[in-house]
Parts: sequence; C-alpha cells; structure tokens
Amino acid sequence: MKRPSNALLGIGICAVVLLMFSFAYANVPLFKLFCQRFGIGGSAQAGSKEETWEQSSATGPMSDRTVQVKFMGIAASGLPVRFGPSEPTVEAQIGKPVHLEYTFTNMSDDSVFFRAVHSIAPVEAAREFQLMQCFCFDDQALGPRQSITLPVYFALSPRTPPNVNELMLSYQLFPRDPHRALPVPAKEAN
Amino acid sequence: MSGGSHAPSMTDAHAKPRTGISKWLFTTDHKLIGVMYVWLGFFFFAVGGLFALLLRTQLASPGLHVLKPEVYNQLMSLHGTFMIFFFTIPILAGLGNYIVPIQIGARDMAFPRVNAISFWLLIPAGLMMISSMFLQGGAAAGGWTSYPPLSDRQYSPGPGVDLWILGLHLAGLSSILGAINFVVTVTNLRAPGMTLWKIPMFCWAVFITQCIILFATPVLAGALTMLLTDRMFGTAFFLPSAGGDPVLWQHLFWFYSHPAVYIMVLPGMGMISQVLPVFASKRLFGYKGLVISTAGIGVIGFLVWGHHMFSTGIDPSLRFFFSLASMVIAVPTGVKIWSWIATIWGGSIRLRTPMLYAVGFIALFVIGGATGVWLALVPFDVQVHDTYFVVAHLHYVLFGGSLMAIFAGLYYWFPKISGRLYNEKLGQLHFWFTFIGMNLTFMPMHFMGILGMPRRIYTYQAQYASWNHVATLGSYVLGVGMLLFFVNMLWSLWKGPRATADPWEHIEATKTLEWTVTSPPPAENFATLPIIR
Amino acid sequence: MTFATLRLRHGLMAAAVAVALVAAGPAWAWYLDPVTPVAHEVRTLFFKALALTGGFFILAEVLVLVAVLRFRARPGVPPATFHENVRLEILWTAIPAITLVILAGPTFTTLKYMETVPKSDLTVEVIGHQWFWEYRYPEHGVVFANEPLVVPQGKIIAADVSSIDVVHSWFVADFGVKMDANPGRVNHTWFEVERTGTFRGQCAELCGVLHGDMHIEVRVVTPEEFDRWIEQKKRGA
Repeated sequence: MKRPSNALLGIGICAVVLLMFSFAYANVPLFKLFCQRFGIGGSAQAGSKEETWEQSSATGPMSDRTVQVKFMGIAASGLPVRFGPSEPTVEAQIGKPVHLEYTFTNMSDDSVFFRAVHSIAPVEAAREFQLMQCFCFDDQALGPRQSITLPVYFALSPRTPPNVNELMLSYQLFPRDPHRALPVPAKEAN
Repeated sequence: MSGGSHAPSMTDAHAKPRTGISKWLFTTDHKLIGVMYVWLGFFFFAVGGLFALLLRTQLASPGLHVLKPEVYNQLMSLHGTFMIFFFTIPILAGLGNYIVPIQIGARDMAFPRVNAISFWLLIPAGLMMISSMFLQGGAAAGGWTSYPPLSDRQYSPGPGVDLWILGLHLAGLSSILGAINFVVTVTNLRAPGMTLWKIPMFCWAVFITQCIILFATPVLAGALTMLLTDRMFGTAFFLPSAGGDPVLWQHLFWFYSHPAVYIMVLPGMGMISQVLPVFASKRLFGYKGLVISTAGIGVIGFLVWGHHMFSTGIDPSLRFFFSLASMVIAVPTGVKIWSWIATIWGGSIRLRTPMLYAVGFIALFVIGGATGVWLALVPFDVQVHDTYFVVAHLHYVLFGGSLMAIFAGLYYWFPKISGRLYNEKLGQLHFWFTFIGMNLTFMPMHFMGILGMPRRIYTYQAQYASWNHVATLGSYVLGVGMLLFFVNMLWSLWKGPRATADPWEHIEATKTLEWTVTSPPPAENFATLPIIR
Repeated sequence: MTFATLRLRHGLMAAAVAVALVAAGPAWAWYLDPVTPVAHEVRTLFFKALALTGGFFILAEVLVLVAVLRFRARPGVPPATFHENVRLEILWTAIPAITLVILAGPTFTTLKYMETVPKSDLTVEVIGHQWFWEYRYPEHGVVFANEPLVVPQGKIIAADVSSIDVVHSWFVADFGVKMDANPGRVNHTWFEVERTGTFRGQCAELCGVLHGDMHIEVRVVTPEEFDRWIEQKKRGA
C-alpha cells in the first residue's frame, strides 16, 4: 500500500484550494465574456459584426420581418439628467441598421458626469442585438443646463428567434463622480 | 507541519497531561477539539434559535411591533448565518473530528496542530459576528445571502457587513483547513486492512463532504474578498454603476452555497446510515450504492446553483439545464432513502432516541426532497421563489434533515464521548416536541408561500395570519423541546450513569471501532492499532 | 416502553398528520385560482409534479411507518440478514430517473410558453425603488409611483422590470409572475389577466429596511374603463 506523505498530499490539496479561489476571480472576465456571447443579462454584442451577417445572409435572403424595439431610460437617484430617444418605438427590420438620436438635458446648475449602462430584454433577443454605436461606450459630461444629442446605431441579426416580437433597449445612467453626495429622493428620468 | 508521513504517535501535547483550562486551550487532541466544536456549535444554535423565536414572535400576527424592521432584518440575517456557518458546519466538523479518526483506526488527525487552528479560528469569527450587533448601524442585514448592491457601502454603510465578511472569511478558512486535514486523514491514516470498501459509511460521508468544501469554499472566499474590496477599496466587481454586475455575486455565491447544502446534509446522512443499522440490528443495505450516491450528489451538486436564480433573468436554455440537473439530484437521494428503508425492513428495531431521530429524519427529509423536485421545475420555482415555500423547503432539508441527523448522531455518540448515559425518557420527549413542533412551524410555511407571502418581511398582510399563528405556536413547541434537550445533556454530563464501552449492544456487523474502546476512549484511542479483516 | 405510551405516540403522529391534511385543504383550494394563462400553466404543471412525485412520497412514508411498527425487536425473533439486492437497487435508481424524464417534458413546454414574448397591447415599465414601485406607460407618457398599477383585462401586458438602486423583485402570486428588478439591467415578462379585480403582491427580494412594506397592487379593469383612466391620468400629468 503506497500512499503519498501527509505533507505532500496536504500541499496538493492546498493547490486545489488556491485554484478554486482564483477560479472565483477568473469568473469576472469569463462571466462578462459569457454574457456577451450569450446575451445573458441583456448585454448586447458590442461593435460591428458585419462579417457574421454576410455569412448568414449568404445562406438565405434577408427577411423583411420586423421587430418592435422599445426604449426605457432610468437615471440614478440624484442624477439630474433627463434623457430619451427621438422616437418612442422603432419597427426595426431584421438585418437593417437603425439610427436613433438620444437627447440628454442637465436639469441642474452644476456639471454632471455619468455613464450609461445598456441592457436588452428578452435575453434570447439580446444575443442577436448588435449595438454598433452608442453613447454608452464612453463616459459623458454635461455642463450646467446643457443639452446634447448623441446617436445610437443598432441592428438585429437574422438569427433573432422567431418567437421574439418585441424587445426593450434600456439605459440606466449612473453618476461617474465617486465623491457625489448620497442619493436624494428619486427624480423621474424621461 | 506536524504529523509527517508516519502515523502520529505521542505528540508533546500528550507527553505531560495538562489539567484545567489549559487542557482545552493548548490541546491538539482530536477528541477534545471535537468536543469544543460541539460546545461552540450549540452555543450558536442557542443564540440562533433565540433569534428565530424572536422572529416568530414578531410574525405571530400581522402588524406587530415586537422588533423594529431594521432589527428584524439583522436578526433574520444572523439567524441564517449562525445556523449555517456557526452551528451546522462546525458541529458536523466536531462530530467528524471526534469519530472519524477512531472509526478508521487512527490515533489522531493527520495534522493535529492545524486541527486546533481550525477550531480556534471560529472564536474570533463568531466574536466578529456577535460584536457587529452592538456597533453603530448594527449587524449585516442583507440576509445570509447579502446580495449587492444592498450589501455595498452605499446601501449598508455601517461596519456590520464588513465584520460579516471577515467573520465568514475566518469561518471559511477554518472549514478549508479542516477539510485538508480530513482528506489527508482518511486517505493516509486508515488502519491496516481498511480498504476503500471497508470504510464506515459515516467516514465516507465526511470524506466526500470535505472534498466538496475544498472545491466550493474557496470560491465563496473569492467572492467575499471581491465584496470586501468593493466596500473598502473602491473596486467595482458587483457595482452596476461602474461596470460591475450584481448578478455575478449571485452566481459565485450560489456556486458555493448550493454545494453548502450538501456540506450540511451529507455528514448527517452518514450518521443516519450509521444509526439505522445499529438500532435495527441489521447490516446497512446497499453500502456501495450509498457511497456512490453520496459521491454522485457531491459532483452533481456543483451543477445546480442556477436554480436559485430562475427569476433573475438568466438565459432560457441555462434555466432548462439547471432545472434538469437539479431534478437529477433526486435520483441518488432516492437511492439513499430506499436503501435506508431496506436497512430497517425486517430488522429488530429498538426505538431509542437516536433511532427515533433517524426515522424522523427519513420522514421529514422525504418532504424536503419532494418539494426540492418541485422547486427544480422552473415555472413552479418562479411562482414560489423567495416566498415562505422556500423557507419551508430549506427547513425540511436543514432542520428535518441536518438537525434531526445531528441529534441522532449526538444521542448515539453521547455515551461514547461523555462516558455517561443520557436520560432516555427526556430524550424521547425531546424528539416528540421537536418532531411535532417542527411540522407545526414549517408545514404551514408551504401554504403561506404558495399564497404569495414573500420571505424576509418583518410583517405581512392579514390574509396570511392564520398560518402564521400556527407557525409561531410550533416554534414555541420547538423552543420547549430544545430546553428539554439542554437540560438533559447538562444534567447527564454531570450526573448521568456511567456508560460501558458499548451501551447500545451492537451486533458484530454494525460495530464500528469506536465501540471497541472504553467510553470515553483513552488518549491516542488505541493501545495497539487495530487490524481490519 | 409500555404499549399504552406507544399507542399514545402513534396517536399523536396520526393526529399531527390529520391536522396538517385538514389544514392543507383550504390552502390548496385558495391557491387554485389562477387569473392569467401562465398561472394556469404553472398550476397544471404543479399538479403533474404532485401526481408524479406524490406516489414516491407516500410510498416512502408508509414503508417507514410500517417498518417501524412491524419490525420491532421481540425476544426470540432474530433480525433478517439481507443487505444487498442488485436488481432492487437498479430498479429504484431507474424508476425515479424515468419519472423525472417524464416530468421534464411538461416543464420544458411550460417554460417555453412563459418565455415566448407575444406581441403586447400595452407596455408597462416597472422600476423598483427603496421602498416603492414606479410605473410608466411609455405609449401614453404616464408616469407615477406609490399608486396601484392599472391594466386592462384580457390584454397582453408587457412588463419591463428594472431597478434604480438595489435588487427588488416584482411579484404577484395570482398572475404567476415574478421578475427580479436588477439595477443596470432590464428584464422582460408578460401577463394577461382574465378577469377584473384587485390583485395584491409584494417585493420578493430583500431590499433593505422596509422590504416588508413594499407592496404591489394591480387593479385590473375593463378596456373601456382603462381608456377612461389613462386619459384622466394624461390630463392630470
């Protein structure tokens, strides 16, 4: 009966423990990747993916199916920004890029800094949603009472599941300055 | 590290026997450490139990003001944390500590000093938890799950959550060190002749449990560290405002916490597999099947965490996968139940307290198992997720399962550990109070949950009142039962009649090694190491 | 242990079981009152699960009870000695496994049904705050908080759920709807209420001190009444 020494076995097990500890951290980038790949949590495919579309459009004609896209906007408590799209809803043709303007207005007399986080529901549509240009890719700043208009380009891939008839593109604005005062009672965005 | 590659012989701790307090403070003896684990466990059991009674008192009727909402949330969070991390896991580690080395024919654990460290880490951990209640802002109040952003600095500004995280870190470290120790002990220190298929079922259960700890607990440690740095050093792992994702915490937390359910219940199942044959005077049925199903539960247990997150908006195909995997768990669990029934079938059953608890375990665990299958079905889970139905389910698994098994094991090994006999009448009375009180408390929670009463609310709408009256009444019955238990144990420790080496009169086929030595066993357990044939 | 105490104990056990069953009756009856198609599906699935698992449950409980009552230690009656039976073990592994495969079928179809997003008649944005709900009707430009949600009967309502601060969960038991409100994310769900009335729900994810006070009230009205209400709201806003 040949058994490894206690110390050797113990060290081997410690390696397992360290491995699992780092596995937790490895999940931070992995989870992000996974979410983007599978659209979990409504993260869209960021950036242009024309090449994959050409492949799929080569196998079949681009459909004239449309999906209604709705928009939702939430500003974090205490962020005095009103924002909304140029149109309340869009009938997006599958495979055809959609252009949209979002207008942001600073309602306060101070400068504001914020970042928009986007999300798409339902999940199975999110993975086929291609966000090509978006203000949510960068931090944004608004001077006192300033109003700006920023473009959004997106398109739905031909693989959008047939049971998806409508989807929601939501933006939530979060203040970027970490030293902001704590939230005051909510103000409605939009 | 101490121990080395040979079985440890007389270590310095035993060279000059200590007395009084230093006997306990400086011991590296697995038996003394095991006993301290049990004491610590029952201390937190009493505290967590009192919290539960306070919670039930607040919920006795709608609109009561026994506890303020913020106090309710703190007590609710600490009740869960104490019962899981400071009672169930440590007390199972304690009983394992005491029994496993003797059952495999060893003189001690592989690393006796590491063993002592494992135990003593729990003291500062527990102190952190308890002291957090008295600091400004109070204890952590985000439930034992502490989902961010609620547990982030912005929404929980006080030191409570920080102390909660650090306390769990220490408890987790204690658990991991203990696991390393157990795995090495069972692998290397078995008596000559004890081949894999001769390891007693309880030792198998503890061994597999400790393997689960090795793979699961470090992930919790990682997640806790991220939460801590989010709170203290401005990282944003879970902060949506800075690109983090609160749902990632839920994934990591449940990646640990679902296996944690098996960490809490598998050793209990091992005890049941030990107790049933003894009191039926019949060999354990389907030993190999039980070992394989235990290992199977351990492995599949890592693939089902998503069923805690069916309503968070995870991918539909993932939902179906987690649903299937969670249903599959029922198969090895069923194998256990049927094997236990076959074990007592045709036996000569003596309904002593340990046996009552073992049989009660089966009766209650089957309920938790059935509701577990229902909860694996996504549409039904979405309906009752985060309602009292889940509270009922988890208490049928952890109270009806783990706690009943702990009592079965404790009554069974009490004479061995203390050298004295407990009072059988009081023990049986304790069982009936527990069994009836348990059902009165938790059975109505199924109905509350189906009617839509969410969990973790400090008061509720009038429509749930009647079931809550019953549940509160049941909790008081449980309280009385536990009082009987503590009285019985303390009195018997002090004045109980002396126990022989084998007070249960085991038949040859069920007699594990601890019953071949005196009660309590001598230092180093065996004069000469046994040889298993 | 005397026979009398034994009988007492079994009497107690039987009484406890009886009380639980009698008590369970009205709860189930109350529960069986679905008002949306999804809730109907969920309850049907639940009954299938109950039927498929109930047999095993009753079998296990009865066998335990019978074993304990029948195989008590008696002088002169030695215990049996069997301890394995491969055929039996294969059987009790295979039969539950097959049952679960059968159960997986309706689970999958119900899940698909819940997840299919029909074309909605009305969109409602549901936003969780500590500790109240904000509702928006984007098609009508109506926004309010701390008031009951009003929806038309027999129409498909799309609910897009999110949160402004911590995780909440929008839950109305009679609808079979529960959807987490995660900050920074939007989740989509839908419901179609078959009859008018007021339905109550509550936040189902611990969200801080007043989590227990975060109620939901949904008033389901006829489409005509809804149109009148929404016009009134628009004028009021």
